[in-house]
Amino acid sequence: MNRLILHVDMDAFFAAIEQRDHPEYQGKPVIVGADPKNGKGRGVVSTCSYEARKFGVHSAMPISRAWKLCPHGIYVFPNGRLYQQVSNEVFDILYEFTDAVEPLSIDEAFLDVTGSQKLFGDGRSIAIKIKERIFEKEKITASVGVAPNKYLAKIASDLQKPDGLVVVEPDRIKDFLFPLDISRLWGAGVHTQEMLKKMGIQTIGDLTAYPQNILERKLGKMGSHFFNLAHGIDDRPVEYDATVKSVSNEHTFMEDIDTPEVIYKCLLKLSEKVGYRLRQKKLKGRTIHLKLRYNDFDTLTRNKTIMQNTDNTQNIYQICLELFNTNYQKNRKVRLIGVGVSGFDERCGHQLTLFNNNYSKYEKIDKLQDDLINKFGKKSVYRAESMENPDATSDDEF
Amino acid sequence: MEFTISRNNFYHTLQKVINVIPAKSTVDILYNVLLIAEENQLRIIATDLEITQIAWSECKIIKESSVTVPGKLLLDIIREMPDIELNFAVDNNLKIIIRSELGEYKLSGQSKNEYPSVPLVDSEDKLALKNALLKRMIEKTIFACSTDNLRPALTGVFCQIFEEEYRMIATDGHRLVKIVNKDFQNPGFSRELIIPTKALNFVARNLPEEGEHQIVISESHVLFDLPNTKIYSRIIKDPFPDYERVIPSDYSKIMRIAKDDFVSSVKRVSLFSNPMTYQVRLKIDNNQVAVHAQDIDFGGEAHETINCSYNSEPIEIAYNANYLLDLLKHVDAESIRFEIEDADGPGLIFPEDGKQDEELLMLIMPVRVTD
Repeated sequence: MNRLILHVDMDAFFAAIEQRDHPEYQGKPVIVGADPKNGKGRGVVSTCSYEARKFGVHSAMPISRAWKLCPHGIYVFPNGRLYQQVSNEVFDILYEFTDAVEPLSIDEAFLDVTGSQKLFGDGRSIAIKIKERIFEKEKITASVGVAPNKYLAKIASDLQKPDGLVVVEPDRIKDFLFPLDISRLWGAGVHTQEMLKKMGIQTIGDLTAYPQNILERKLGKMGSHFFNLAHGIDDRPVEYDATVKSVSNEHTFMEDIDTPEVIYKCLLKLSEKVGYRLRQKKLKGRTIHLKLRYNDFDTLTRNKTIMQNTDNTQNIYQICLELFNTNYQKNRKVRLIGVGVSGFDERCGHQLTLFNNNYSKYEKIDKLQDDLINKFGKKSVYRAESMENPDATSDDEF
Repeated sequence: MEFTISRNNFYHTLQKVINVIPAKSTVDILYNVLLIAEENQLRIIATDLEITQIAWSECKIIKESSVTVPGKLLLDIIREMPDIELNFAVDNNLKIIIRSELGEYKLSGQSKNEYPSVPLVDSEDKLALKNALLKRMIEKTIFACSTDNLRPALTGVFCQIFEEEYRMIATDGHRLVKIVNKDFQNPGFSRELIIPTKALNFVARNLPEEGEHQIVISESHVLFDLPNTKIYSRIIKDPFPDYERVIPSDYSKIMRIAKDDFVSSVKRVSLFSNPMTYQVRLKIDNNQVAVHAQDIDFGGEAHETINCSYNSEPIEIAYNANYLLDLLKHVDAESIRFEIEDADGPGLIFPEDGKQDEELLMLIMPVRVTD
């Protein structure tokens, strides 16, 4: 069976965040990196906006050189904590689609979504959803490559940057790959490229004209590596930590909220999501987490450990509600709220109970809801209590 | 409204009801107490809608009326006063002036119209209980209640009133306490009701050692008529689980042990247990109990052996040490009887030399260990 791999790459990540948070930077060359000190600065460019790239500035370039190319640019010192925060939120979105997420860096990841198609649709649909979710939540763009393996996905994501989406269908690999310049070969440095060019190889397609044994003789071990890549073969799995330590979801409000009732609804919705994901993974946790961020970015996290590990939506919700009510400072505006469950370690034994049927009503609701979601999709059913405005739902949505 | 009252009377009366005020509420008026000056009496009422408490004291009334006042603020003012006479007056705009020989204090009141009304508890189901007895039964049970609002029935103490005995049962699903009292006047009716723990806490706090009090039970509420105070509580209406079904009666493995030795040992060993689970293992064999705890994450480990009387086949069983200690602490006997059957079933704890006319049973569920 063909795998379905996505490469998600944020566009000019740090610069995009700065432009988002400073509307006056938009449309202007923004260079995030060391202090240029009027051209005498040391250090390098860490990211620059697409406007800056037009002047020839690129990441890893000495900042002094960037200054020469683009003296009127907006130079910003990196705000690492902010970028990490945004990165975490972007990764949270990726984890909504699969657990098989292999982070490559702060702004780049591979996803194996082979098993997610039933829920979210084909590769293109998933990529569109991811792009939309990231833009909706973070107001920055990502480019996505969709392909049967990591190598092709990585090339694909780069082809239409920024805000790109390139899908490589399994039966179109040759059409996609062969016209590309050999500089797109993974692992082919300047030296190798020169050597290949001497052999008359300009494009990846040219390379496929050579049999594997000749390439091996000329290039050693790398020969067969290039042979495989040129044929679009790459069996490396998406590597991710399969031992889940926690499951969480969070929500940023469109407008900052100080009405507890609206937050309650959101907590219930998040509890539903977390509960659903726990049950899909067959995990039960003992520690329930609440994250609360006020509009001034003052953030607090609180948790409660319960005796009986749980995957039950109602149970998670009740505890979050309790945590919220004891910690929320009245009248302060809330920007973001998050719900999580951790503590899956089973080594510590399992506390037995006297009356096992007490939660059965809530467990039945969970089971029913999960069955419906698995059959009809994530938005098919949710608790009436979590609906924000029941009147706003028109019949034709169903 | 105007009255004069001694600081001590005012303070002690207010102090009785103050804890009923909820720490957090969406209904702002609940942060207030209702003061009613009528018939030479000052009555102070606090409620969280679930529990309502009234306390009263003598005072000299100049003009009868009522007002609601922020409870904590009022308590804070009066607490700081020496025992002198206070004059409390409210004008038509609900401005309050408290005058004393030290000076005067102004604060704003609110109309009593918005304040929830005191529940009407009108019923023929009345019983008289000895103060000391109820206090003891509350103390023996209340700690075992659940705080999990998903199972409302377990967040209160289940009271069973029979013609010949009075029982209280509390459980959170992991442990259970049942106390039965037979030194009891036939009330002429039978009733079962679940009383929220918060209400029972207030009742226990207001019960003197001597004397007796009356309890009135209506369909939805219970009223405790105590000296100088009345506590009304909503009754929890969810069905209490069939607790008798889960208490085994056919156990054959019996360990007898000195309670204090057992408690000390479990306490010491449990310090080395995993701070999340507090799991301790008991290995009972040949007149000895080995108490063992291990924390895999941090590498701590402890082991003790104490003497007991046990002559069935060896058994190993794990418990949450906090649950075990909680239960043992509430058994007032020098020696206890511990009954078990297997590593997955409940353990039963009884006092060896129990009180006359009283039955006390404690049950603890084990932790299943996967080796």
